[in-house]
Amino acid sequence: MTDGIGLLIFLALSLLLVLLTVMQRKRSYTLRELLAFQRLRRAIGLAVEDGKRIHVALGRGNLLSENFGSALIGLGVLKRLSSVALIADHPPIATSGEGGLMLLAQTGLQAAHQRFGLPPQDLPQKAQLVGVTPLSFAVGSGMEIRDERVAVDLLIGHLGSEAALICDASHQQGNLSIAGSDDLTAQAVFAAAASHPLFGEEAYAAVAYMDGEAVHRASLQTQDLARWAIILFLIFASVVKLIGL
Amino acid sequence: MKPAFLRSPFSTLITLLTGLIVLLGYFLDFEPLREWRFRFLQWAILLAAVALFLGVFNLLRVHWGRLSESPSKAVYSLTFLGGFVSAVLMAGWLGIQHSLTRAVVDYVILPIEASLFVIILVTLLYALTRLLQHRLSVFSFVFLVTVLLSLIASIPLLGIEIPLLHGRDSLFSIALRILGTAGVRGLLIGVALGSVVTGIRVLFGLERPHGD
Repeated sequence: MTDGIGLLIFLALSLLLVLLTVMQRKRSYTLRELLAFQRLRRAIGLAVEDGKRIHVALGRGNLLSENFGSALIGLGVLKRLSSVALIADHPPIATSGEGGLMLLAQTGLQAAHQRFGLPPQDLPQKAQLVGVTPLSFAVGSGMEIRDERVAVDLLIGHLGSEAALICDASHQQGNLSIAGSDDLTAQAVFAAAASHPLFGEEAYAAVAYMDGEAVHRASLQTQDLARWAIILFLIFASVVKLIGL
Repeated sequence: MKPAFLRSPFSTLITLLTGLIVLLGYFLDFEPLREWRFRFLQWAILLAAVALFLGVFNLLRVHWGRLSESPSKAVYSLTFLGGFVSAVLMAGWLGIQHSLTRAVVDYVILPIEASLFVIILVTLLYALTRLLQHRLSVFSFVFLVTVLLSLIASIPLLGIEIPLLHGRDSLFSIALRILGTAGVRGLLIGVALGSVVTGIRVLFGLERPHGD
């Protein structure tokens, strides 16, 4: 066995998630209020009323890399937004810096159209690969923000310092920008440049705040419990080291 | 709403089987699992390459369509298409090691990217002033002070050394190392847990972020 502890952690988290999902169906877990998601709910309503679009920048997380997790959250957010925005016939637009992400975003939008019994139109324009390098992705996303009558920009995925250009384009249009990433440089950039930055695990909570399904609430609860376990382990390990055991 | 594994059981089954084999192949030292893991990853690399090709094709299609739109949009699209075609022809005809191809990279692409990095710097400075004007809170104040002190501590000030600020063993450097490392670890633990739990949800078909 090469990495028994890793497998054990994976199994424990999986079991915890399943158990908590079952418990969530009976009794709901209360989420703490996050200003970013309060503003987002309001901004989605206003955008739909004004006939404006919502833009989701999915980043450039590679399908085969460990940073694809944040891109999956971006795709989940896009899926939920499509359900709301399609009622007003203004589907959201998605930009990505990776071919696989673009295909998944197009599949998601197509599924949302089918759910509403609408024929999917202009999918290549609504979910695009705008550039394959970090800077070309940022410049391409900025152009979409300027050209597509966007009201809200959600940046959720693997991004880097180039995200400053996207946030700036968003600010120039007077849009609301909510941004979260798995990358620490991007998080530092968002702290200054985004209207509402999401730090650490907050980006991973986006889907739970948008639909409140039991499995997503259970995910947050699992993360909370795991975090407490890690904190206790760190304190325990520090004390053990301090007393020289 | 039904869970994803009930809505599309076939694709969920494929995700589950391939995902588990790749994961177990990573954790367990068992030759058949490792072999299958390697094979699945090879297939995934091929698929990712095809996806990139489709993405570029999609980009060309979108810009081709924009040529018939307003002149302001058409100019950008025409520039993009012209640049793309000439780059492909040049690299394909002359080869990527040819002096002309290298010159395009060295004298066109690299300077453009460098200028974009400078724009990022200016954008961030502007964002900091916005932060001061519109979102002044305890958080933004601490953020700003840390940024300013870090900048002052990391650049030479005409040979002047501020006692508590400059030097590897200065109070600021020690505080930044301890607090910074603690903060980074906290954020990374949150990101790691979020990624793992998201992966578990997708792997077991509890969610399909890209589909119905």
